[in-house]
Amino acid sequence: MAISSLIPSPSINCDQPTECFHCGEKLDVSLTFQTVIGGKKRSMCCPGCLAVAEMIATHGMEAFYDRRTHYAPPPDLELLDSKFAGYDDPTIRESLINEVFEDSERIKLLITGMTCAACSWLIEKQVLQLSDVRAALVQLGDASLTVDICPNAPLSNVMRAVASLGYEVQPFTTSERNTILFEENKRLLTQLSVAGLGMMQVGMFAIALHAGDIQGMDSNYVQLMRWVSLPIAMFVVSFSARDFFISAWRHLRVGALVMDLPIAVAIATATLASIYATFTSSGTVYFDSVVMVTFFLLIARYFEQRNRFKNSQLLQQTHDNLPLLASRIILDEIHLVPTQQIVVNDRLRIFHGDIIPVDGELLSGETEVDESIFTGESLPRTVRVGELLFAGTCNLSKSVDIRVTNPVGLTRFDALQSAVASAETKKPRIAKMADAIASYFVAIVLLLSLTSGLIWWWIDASNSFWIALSVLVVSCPCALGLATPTVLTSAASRLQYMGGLIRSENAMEELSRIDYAIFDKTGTLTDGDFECVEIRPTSNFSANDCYLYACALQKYSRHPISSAFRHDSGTSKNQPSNEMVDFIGNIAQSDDANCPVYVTGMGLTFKDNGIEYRLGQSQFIEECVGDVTLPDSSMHWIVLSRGKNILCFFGVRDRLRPNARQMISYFKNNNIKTMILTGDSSQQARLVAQSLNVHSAEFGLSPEDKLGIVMDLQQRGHQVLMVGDGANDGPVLLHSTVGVAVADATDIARVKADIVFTNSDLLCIEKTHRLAIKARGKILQNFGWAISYNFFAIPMAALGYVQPWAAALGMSLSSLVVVLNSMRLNHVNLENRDI
Amino acid sequence: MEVLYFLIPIALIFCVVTLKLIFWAIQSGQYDDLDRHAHIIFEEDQSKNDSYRDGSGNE
Repeated sequence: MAISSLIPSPSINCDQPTECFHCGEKLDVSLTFQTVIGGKKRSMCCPGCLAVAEMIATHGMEAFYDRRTHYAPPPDLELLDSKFAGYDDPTIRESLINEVFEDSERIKLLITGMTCAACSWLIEKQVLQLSDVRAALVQLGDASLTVDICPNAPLSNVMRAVASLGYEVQPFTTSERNTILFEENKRLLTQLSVAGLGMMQVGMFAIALHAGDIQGMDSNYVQLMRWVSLPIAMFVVSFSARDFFISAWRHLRVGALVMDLPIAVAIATATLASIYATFTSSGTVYFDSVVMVTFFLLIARYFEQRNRFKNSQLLQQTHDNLPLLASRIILDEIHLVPTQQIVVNDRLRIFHGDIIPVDGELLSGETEVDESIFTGESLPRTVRVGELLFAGTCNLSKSVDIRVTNPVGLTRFDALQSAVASAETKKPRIAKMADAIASYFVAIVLLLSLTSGLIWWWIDASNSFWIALSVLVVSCPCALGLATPTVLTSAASRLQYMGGLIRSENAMEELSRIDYAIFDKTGTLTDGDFECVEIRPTSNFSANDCYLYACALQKYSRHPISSAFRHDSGTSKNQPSNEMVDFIGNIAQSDDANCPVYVTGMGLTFKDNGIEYRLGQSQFIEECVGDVTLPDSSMHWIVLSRGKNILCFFGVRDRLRPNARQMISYFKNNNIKTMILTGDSSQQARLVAQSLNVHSAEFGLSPEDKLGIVMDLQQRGHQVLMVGDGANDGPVLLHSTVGVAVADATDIARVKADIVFTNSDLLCIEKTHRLAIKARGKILQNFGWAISYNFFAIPMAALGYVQPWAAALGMSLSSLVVVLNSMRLNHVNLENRDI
Repeated sequence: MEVLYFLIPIALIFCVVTLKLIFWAIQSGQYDDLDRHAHIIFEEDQSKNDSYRDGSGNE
């Protein structure tokens, strides 16, 4: 949750505010809500923001607005109070308690919608005002709120307090795996700090020893230095380097030579030789090299681990999206029950806007559900009586009752997740070149040092052991072993700054070799919203008037296409004509009984003084005016009618994400073939492909079709980059050479992609590709250095020209060169230099 | 140079103390969330929360 930009002080443009003071939405000129905060009049976009802002102000927490770096999420005032009441149920509450203290119980909640550190401050303040709460701590890292609450005090109060600020809140459920990773992370950090401190101490003594070798040093003091270094190095080796020994041994037992083996052998040999040297007051000690190597290897491992931990927390949140409670109907009464207790044939009430907890069959009425997590398409599906609704999808239009067909654990959502889990383990992994080389390398080195030791036994027996050891130490394969991981770690941290997370170790290396870039359309190249690109009035009302009237109507629709009719997305912002002001005013003044009505799947209808206005698909308008002839078939047309006359045609199309064009041309300039694969078969999809000028595009594809195309390309030897979102892209993301999931990606897609972006800027993909190419260059440089170093150093050592202390220094320096070279990756320029 | 026999043990004691401090810091979760703590200095009146913040984690 890096803070990327500060909001310009909201008080500056107080005279003419264009954005909501609270959430930053564009303000509707005709409809604002005002209140006084911090001595100035502030404008809000909706009653929700107004209520939250006033609440914050009256509780003396205005400081939130000074501190925030991002706008707050717009609150949803429709949150049902009853939703939280269920958590007061003793058995449910019991299951949520993490720890019990004398006078309080600790409960962890998951909070969604936090944008910056000021949010955490606000939430803590708000929760601490409750008398039952002893302590509260928000952690941005895992988006959690930990509260210590009096026993038997209602938890719903806390949840309501958070929800009233506009954040979504639900219990935090931790998976076993996450807890293990968390502990692992702490352990590694401890090991790392021990190695770091040890390195400083032993290094201090080592400098004295090296200086003594050159200048001459009293043997008393040499021994003193060695005897103090010994326990420190022993402690570091046994505590911090333990994992290398364990892993080397574990693999050796099954006959595998891994990178950890040469490291373990080198650390062990150098340590034992140094101990021998210390006890016999002979030769040289290598304590400094041992500790340094341990530290450098651990630091690379720690950053890698940290990354993995962050990723696992992303997954965690996927599962938390499913509600824990459902409204079961027994004898016309609604009871909130944990979803675990729901069985087949239970009758559930699904309120509008709710995530559906289990699979079920619609019992009455009809509604629309957002199934983007399964289909990736943003247009909702209309569900009629007897049809199925699936867990994890969102009920959009109205409250309905369902009969449960698949309880928790057996839903389509669960099936999808377990399919992902099993497919993940089957993903073919590229053989690890470094490990392969290193395992031969270590065998050769062991042989070489043994041979040179034996030869020197004949020439000069007193030197043979130290020369054999010099060979082993000078040729320590650490530089080789560090060559890849340090580069990948730097690349990962660089990527993290851009909002990306790497899930597969091979992703970067593979990304540098791609020659095909494939994109999903909805949610990837387009942002799922629509824009109105053409307005053709057919009456004497102006285009501007018609557009503003449509804008006023669409407020009553939840259909995604209504996003085309927002003040900020339109072309015109002029004031409506006087006549139109009255008409729009009539909509605003209409009460619940005669306000515009949304007809599922069709459009909006509104009766104003007996004249019917309609806005929607052409079929819907035809019911009123007879045949409708659309201007042409180049885009999707929405029609506005009044009585029996058509007032206007609106040409609507998918809105491209910013930079989509630039990204496509970047790949084209780099001789990478671009392609669009989409499930959308409409005219709009073709328009998008045309305007982006990609090499090829396929429409109306099922997930299986997409997978087929990608696998076909791979069989012909192409390396395929797949960029997508949505679960329908899941299999493709998994099987493509590199899968990248972009922002707003439904969580399931995240599970399967190699790289996940939480940032919505498509330029990141371009930058990542550049980074991957640079990273590959760095890896090759490191290998080049490590190999040429060894090529010169080993013969020198074998010939007896290298003193053991110089061997140790040389090896440490060679590792250091590799590490520093890799770190330069954090500063390379990734900006576009082609244009 | 005899002073080394005196100075080195002192250095080692410092080292042990530092290690203890680091262990304590890690165990009490101070490294769990690195984003939030950059902003803590801006927060006043934490009296009710002090026992939480001292890092012991327990009340």
